[in-house]
Amino acid sequence: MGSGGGGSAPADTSTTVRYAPYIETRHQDFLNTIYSKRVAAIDESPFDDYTDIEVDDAFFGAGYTIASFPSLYDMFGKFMAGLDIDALYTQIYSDTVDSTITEDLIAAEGALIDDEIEDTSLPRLQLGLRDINSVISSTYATGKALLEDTRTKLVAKFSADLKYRLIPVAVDRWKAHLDWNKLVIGTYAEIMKLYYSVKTDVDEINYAMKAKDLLWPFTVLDFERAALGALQGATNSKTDVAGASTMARVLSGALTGAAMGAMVGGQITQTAGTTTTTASGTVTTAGTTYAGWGAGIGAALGVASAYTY
Amino acid sequence: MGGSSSSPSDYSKEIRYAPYIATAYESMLNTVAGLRTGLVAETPYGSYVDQDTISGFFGAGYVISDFPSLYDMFGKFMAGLDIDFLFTEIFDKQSNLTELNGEVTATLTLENQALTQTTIPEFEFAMRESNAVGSSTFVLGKTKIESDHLKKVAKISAEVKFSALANTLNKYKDKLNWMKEMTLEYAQLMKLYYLTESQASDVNTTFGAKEVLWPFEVMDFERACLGTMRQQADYKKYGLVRKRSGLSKVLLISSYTVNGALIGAECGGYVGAIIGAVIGFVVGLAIVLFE
Repeated sequence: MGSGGGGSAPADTSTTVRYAPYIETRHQDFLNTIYSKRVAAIDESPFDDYTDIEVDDAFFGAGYTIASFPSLYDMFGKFMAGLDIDALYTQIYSDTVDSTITEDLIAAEGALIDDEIEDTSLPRLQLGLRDINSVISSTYATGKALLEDTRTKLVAKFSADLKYRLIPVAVDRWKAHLDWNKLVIGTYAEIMKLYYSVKTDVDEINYAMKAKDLLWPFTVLDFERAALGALQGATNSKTDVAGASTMARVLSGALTGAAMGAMVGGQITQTAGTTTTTASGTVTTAGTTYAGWGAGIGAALGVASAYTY
Repeated sequence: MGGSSSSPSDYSKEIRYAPYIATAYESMLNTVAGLRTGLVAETPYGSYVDQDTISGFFGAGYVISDFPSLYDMFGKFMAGLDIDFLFTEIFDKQSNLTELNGEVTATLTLENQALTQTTIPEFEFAMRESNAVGSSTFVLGKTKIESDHLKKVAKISAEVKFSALANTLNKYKDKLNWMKEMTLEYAQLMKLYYLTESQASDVNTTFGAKEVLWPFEVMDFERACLGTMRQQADYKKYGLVRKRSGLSKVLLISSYTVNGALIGAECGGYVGAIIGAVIGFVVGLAIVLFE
């Protein structure tokens, strides 16, 4: 092995550094081997086959982007800020208490009593009165009238009872409607947050893979560079593929940390939206907002841990 | 170690070492070269099979875009859901259940049996005893019995129908919650996919790179041997690529502790939070110690 230079002027000198023959022999053999391996490896980038992970299609469908959908503020305006909750109450009250189904139920109750009178009560009454020859008496007419009177009162009572019982149902339904609208906005925001989180992480991974692919020749050549300077104590500068650092950080922590935090956040949202039935039949909303803050802290710690790796 | 010059302008310097060092050095170089020849071809990564997450998540031949997008699911099950129609549908179904009508009919049959077999015969017997069968009181008495019967019928029917109201409301809310859970679960699945796919891609390409770079990894030791008489010569031990910083360790353990406390709190209040925090702390510590 040697290095040198030459010149025509007397002041120019050249120096050849040589090593003992056995070292030079081994170094030469080493360089030849590494050269042949480099030729084989330089076009064999393992990142060449990497296919970018697709995000937008999965979130929005083929050909759509986030701009194709209503903005979060639009949704907030539609489902919450712009909602006339008084009008909604009136509509729900009317739709519940005075609905067609309610009227049908009342009519069905009347029909049931009618059937019972016609099919059971009246024949039974007539049978008894025929036996004592009283069918044509005024008392019989009074008896029939009493039954009709009872029927009218029962239908009226049922109607009033039903409508009275439907008032809390309407109120509860109204509350459920408002809760639902809030959940829609919350879920929309969560989905959007998830999109941006996934998109930024996946972009980083995709670009890191691309960079690794492009830098692959230098990753390989770095070994040869170190081999050439081996006798001068040169070392290869990397123990990993060039361009890997950012992606490794993302994979090891950021996405995992965010995922953990979001997972807990998801559970909290579920709990907040879960309704429980009390003894009186009303439905209440349970849950706490502290868990959401905690989830955020947990996720932030996870991300911070990844970035300070 | 020594050197020599051939002419005043061309200076040649040969680096040699003491004979005993040269002997050992030559022997080591020959040994390493011999080992290298065999090891270069024996990559341990050749048998690695790429992790196939796509098939696992979506089935062979399918990709994520073959399934409904998350926004589609959100639109279908949440934003685009007509919840008023949903309530009406459930209310209608609950109020007209065949089971409810059957229950009313069955109770009516029992009531009628009791009336004809017990109440009316007892009334007629009592009226006969007082010789009042032919009187108007008898007629009115029978009418009163039938009237009471009708009231019972109405009461039974109303009770059954009113019980359907609470069921309607519960079912309505359960269904709404289900729609929301389904959307969130779909989002969770998607998140899990991206997390898994990213990790699998990293692992697959890392093993691919390790396989291609295996000869260089082997020869890097020989390079270090060739330059071993130089102070700078260094052999990096592959595999121990990264080391977590102290700050990162603290943050990681904190993250697991907080998340453990949250999960515990969800399950068992304050006591659960304490237990969860301890478990989270231990898990975080274990990860730091064993990674």
